[in-house]
Amino acid sequence: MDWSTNLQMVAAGLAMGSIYALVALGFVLIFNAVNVVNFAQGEFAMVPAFIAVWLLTSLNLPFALACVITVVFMGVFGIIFQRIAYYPLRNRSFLPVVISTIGVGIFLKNGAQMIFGAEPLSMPRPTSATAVNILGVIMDPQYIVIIICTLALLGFQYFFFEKTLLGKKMLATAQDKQMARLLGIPVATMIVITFVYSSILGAAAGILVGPVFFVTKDMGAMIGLKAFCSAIVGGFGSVPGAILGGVFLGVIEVFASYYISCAYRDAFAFIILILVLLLRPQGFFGEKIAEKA
Amino acid sequence: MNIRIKNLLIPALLVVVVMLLPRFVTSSYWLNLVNLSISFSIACLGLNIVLGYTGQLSLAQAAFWGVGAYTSAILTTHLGLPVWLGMFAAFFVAALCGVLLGIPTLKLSGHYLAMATIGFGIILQLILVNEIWLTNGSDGITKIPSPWIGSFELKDPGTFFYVAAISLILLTWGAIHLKDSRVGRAFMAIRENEMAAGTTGVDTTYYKIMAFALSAGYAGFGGWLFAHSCSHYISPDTFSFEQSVIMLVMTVLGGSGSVIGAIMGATLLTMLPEVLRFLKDSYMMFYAAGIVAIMIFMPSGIAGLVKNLPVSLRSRTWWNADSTAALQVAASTTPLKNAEAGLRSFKIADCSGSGEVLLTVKGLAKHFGGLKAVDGVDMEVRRGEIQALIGPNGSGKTTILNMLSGLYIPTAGEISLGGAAIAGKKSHIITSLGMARTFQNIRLFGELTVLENVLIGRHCHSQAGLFTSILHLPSQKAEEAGIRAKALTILEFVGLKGKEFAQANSLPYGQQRLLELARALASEPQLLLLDEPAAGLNAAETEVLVDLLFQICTRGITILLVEHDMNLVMNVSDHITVLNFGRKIAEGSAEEIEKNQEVIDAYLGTEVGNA
Amino acid sequence: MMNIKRFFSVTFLSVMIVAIFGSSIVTAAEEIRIGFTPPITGVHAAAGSLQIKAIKLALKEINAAGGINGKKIDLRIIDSQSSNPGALAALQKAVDQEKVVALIGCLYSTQVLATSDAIKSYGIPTIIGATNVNITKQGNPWLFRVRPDDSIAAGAMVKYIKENTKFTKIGLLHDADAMGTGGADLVEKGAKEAGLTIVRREKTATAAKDFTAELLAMKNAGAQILIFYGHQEATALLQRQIRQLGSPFKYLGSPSAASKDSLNLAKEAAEGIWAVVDFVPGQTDENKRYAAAYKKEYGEEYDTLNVWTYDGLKILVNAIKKAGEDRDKIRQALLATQGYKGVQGTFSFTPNGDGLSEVSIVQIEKGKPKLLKIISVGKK
Repeated sequence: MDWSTNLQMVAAGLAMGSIYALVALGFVLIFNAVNVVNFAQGEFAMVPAFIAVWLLTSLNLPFALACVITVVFMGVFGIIFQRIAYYPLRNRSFLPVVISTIGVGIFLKNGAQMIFGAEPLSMPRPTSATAVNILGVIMDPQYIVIIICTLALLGFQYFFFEKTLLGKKMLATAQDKQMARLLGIPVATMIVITFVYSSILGAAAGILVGPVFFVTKDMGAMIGLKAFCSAIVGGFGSVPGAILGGVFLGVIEVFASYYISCAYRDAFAFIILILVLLLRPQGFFGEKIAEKA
Repeated sequence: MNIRIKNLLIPALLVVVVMLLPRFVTSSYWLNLVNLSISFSIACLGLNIVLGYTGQLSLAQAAFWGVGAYTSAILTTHLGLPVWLGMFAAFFVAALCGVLLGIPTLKLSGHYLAMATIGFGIILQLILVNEIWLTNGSDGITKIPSPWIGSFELKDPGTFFYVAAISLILLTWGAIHLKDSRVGRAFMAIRENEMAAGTTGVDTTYYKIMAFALSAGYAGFGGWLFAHSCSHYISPDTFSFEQSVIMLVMTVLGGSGSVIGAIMGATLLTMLPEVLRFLKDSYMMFYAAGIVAIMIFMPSGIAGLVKNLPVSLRSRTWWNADSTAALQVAASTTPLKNAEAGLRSFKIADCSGSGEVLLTVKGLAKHFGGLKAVDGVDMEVRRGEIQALIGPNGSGKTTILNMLSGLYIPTAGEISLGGAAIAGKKSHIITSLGMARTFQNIRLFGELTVLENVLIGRHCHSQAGLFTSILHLPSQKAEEAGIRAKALTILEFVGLKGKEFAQANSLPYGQQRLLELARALASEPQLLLLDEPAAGLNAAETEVLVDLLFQICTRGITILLVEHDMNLVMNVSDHITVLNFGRKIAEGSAEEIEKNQEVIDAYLGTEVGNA
Repeated sequence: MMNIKRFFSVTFLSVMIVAIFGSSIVTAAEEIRIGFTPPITGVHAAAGSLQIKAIKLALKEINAAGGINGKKIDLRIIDSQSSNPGALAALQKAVDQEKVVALIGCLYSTQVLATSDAIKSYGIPTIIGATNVNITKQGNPWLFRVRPDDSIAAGAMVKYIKENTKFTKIGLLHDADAMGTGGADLVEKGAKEAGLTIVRREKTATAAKDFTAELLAMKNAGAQILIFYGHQEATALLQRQIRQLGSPFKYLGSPSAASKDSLNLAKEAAEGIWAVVDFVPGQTDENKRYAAAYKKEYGEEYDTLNVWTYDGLKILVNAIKKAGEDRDKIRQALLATQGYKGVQGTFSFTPNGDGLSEVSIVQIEKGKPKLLKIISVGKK
């Protein structure tokens, strides 16, 4: 067993998996709240990446300031997105909403191209590009930042949903809108907040991953799909499930590429997805929902 | 206008258009686009079958399209087989892939199913790219031959158009026929309410797989057209997830469930980028914005918009394929013969429950993990009686009904209906053996008409398969007429005459219950299970129900009902079984049960402090 | 609601009608129409925009110098949408609707192959930039390639390794698409013939971003030098990740590795890598002049991968000057073009329609390619 190689791959898998996890979280939150599968979730990471690059390169802002502005921008973006893509269709069956989010995704991709040009952009790095050596594992420092930030977000998430009133209100809205309304929870506001939070998660994903990969209009597409897989593998609707699913997929992908086939790299996420759907459809952490006769 | 002339008008018009189009449109640019639109239309027709009719969201349609294209390309280039053979191969290999997708995904629905189909599609594309020995990989396959008719090569877009157009017409005709047939109704039942479809007698597994296979086959055919059109070249990058998404958008934009809609959506979205070229690089944004706008403002797609245009009723029914049935029925004003014909024609019994045992239940149990919902129940239901199953909430009544009707597999115990063992069998098989049921929360096929709901009830007693349904052979037409007549009788029986073409969802609550009853009766059951049939009914409606129950009983159908309305129960039942905490605590006649102390305790509770 | 629907439908229909009938703007009689079908939208939009910049510069220069015998060039740019059906539709629109006399076609091999048959049946001279070797072997006399094809680039890579280095163990990594697979196949074939060992060959998915598995596989197989045949973004990512792994092997890349975009993205990680390129900027008067003109026009450096449209238009116009507007005569004039000094090199068309047969091996120093060796590989 070549430990050094394997550990190296675990590190790479964890980093990539964290990105999947962040985007998957965004999916799950929106789905829990409004039962909508947001096919533009990948673009929720792509758009802030472009904004951040522009702020950093054209306006030469310091990194921290650029992050704050990007996050705020995405917050507003979440409100607008909710108003355009979700709100008019909130009473329809899930198919029109799916198509609508697909449309928004295409719009965002091409809008990004129109505004920022078609060429890939390089995001200035907050960390140095020189690899660090930790316990024999060579890692891009940004990968470490990604993992740490994801853990921090997780911690914040747990605290927010379990311990704060606002978080609990959001959970309540997600579980049963009617009942939440009856209890005086402003459901429409909760939904808006959910979209905003999901967009901010996208901003985090975009800013974190931008420096290691390049910022292109197509960067959201595959990440979005794999994040979706992660959410299902982890248990659709379960927040810890989304995180674990993402990390799990990220690691499996690297190992399968090395040991089985690099060419089929993209297939592994989906093969695992199909296996999980066949054998344990509720994923790792999801709950079996039986239909009541 | 005479119906017969109208029915001939459309085909005649189509023939004229097809023959003349290449004379007027000579630009190979437009002809190629037309051919491309046709190829997409056929793929969307397929997607319409699995999504619009059967309600299964598939995002792998472009992959099947690609399978068809590649199958034919490989056979005609590597093996030199004739293009027409490639056509059949494309259809069948793609259909086979559809089966391969359908089988593992049977238990999935909604976004889980969508995700699984996405994965399937991506894996298929990766195979196209990587299995170079078979597909030539990313380089693609060149020099794909054109079809030949005799010694005439259909090389340019103008001549190829004939093949494409005729194929489209035939496949559309098939899809329209399908909608108005036993198989089509089975599909739609699954879409509307899969659980109820099963208990109404539809083998959901079989039909779901059929839907996937048919849909994939259509896509494969479209792929065949694509491969042999004027490019004479295919490469894997065309058959991507993004393309599947576009096909989905085409189908929904056109109007999911509408055959013409699928064609309109496909044509529109193929032509639109061409038409918007003047917008240069911003056209994709307009395209995307257009998609969102259409979803918001035209929810039933373009077909829905057309349906609602304020034109006269006569020309409007043109568009609705399903209304041909309506026209036929409306046109036939002959009085219904044999009003009794729809129901089991036993001699009219006196409904006293002295017959032989019809249903035997021994040691039936259902455990959900640690919860023992039903814990060893023995019961018997005699032929011709009305038996009630009562008990406090949570006593296991509905669970027993679910086990009887095949929705749950018993943890233990035996069930036998008329001698046949049915424990653990699937719902549709149990239905075909003679048991039908209604549900506590009404499970109708909401978007379908009242008549269609009852027609689906006749599923077990009709035979038309896929082939006969698509072709509308005379045997199928005769069978349809027969089913329709019976359905109308039953509707009259329950008191819903005149409402045949109303949408099931639009009926008031009480009538929805009657409809569910009619649907159950349509399968000619020996035993009818009713789950709280009086729930939500007022006194007048309950009286109607009681009367109906007696009527049903006198026609020889045995009834087992679960009910909370004690007046109804005492009034109607020959025999009552009482459950509490998953066990039978008493059984007997109404008088006996009224006086039974255990039953009283179970319902009213024992007094605290008394001995 | 009905009003909105009606408004929407009416607007929609009007837009469509205007678009269908207004799309073909009339050209003045004193102009010659040439078509160009770049990918303006879709995944290849980046390359498309650079190709447009280059060709517009050529157009400007040509028209400023009086065009063709006094007639100006009317360049019709039609989006090929980065897809096969799109490329075909663009070609047909150019020929059927816009009635162009000749065409500058596609860069991507799959799109060229998709339009090949139509080009042949229309009989329209088409300049292409695709490098797949099979394109000019199909017996289609109307295709003219203005970049060196993959066999030349691949052959040069192998030749350089064999003759100028001591490496014998090659790790071969490539993009799964047509260009990558085609190039890699040729490298593998050439390596075998030269007696070099390919210790491991792997494909990467086109959108892949993390190459840890691939790089570790190469390292553990004992590769001394890694050849990567692929596109800019992947190239830059690979170079960065190799450096982070401690540069276990030398890197030799396909032409994208030395392109401006790739170097901008990879920055310091590209230092010291080798690449095979179509040509090295700054070596000839022609490309010095071009560099200055491009900088003046667009305020940035030009991209070596997307100069072919500049050379292509100029070569085409040159042929039309000699032959007039008859398509077959243009074709013959193109074939007869020998010794034409373009930005990418000196063009001499073979009977198959290939214009260039020379490539260079470069090393990246301080972010710029430095010439190591020019290699002319005999074509098979």
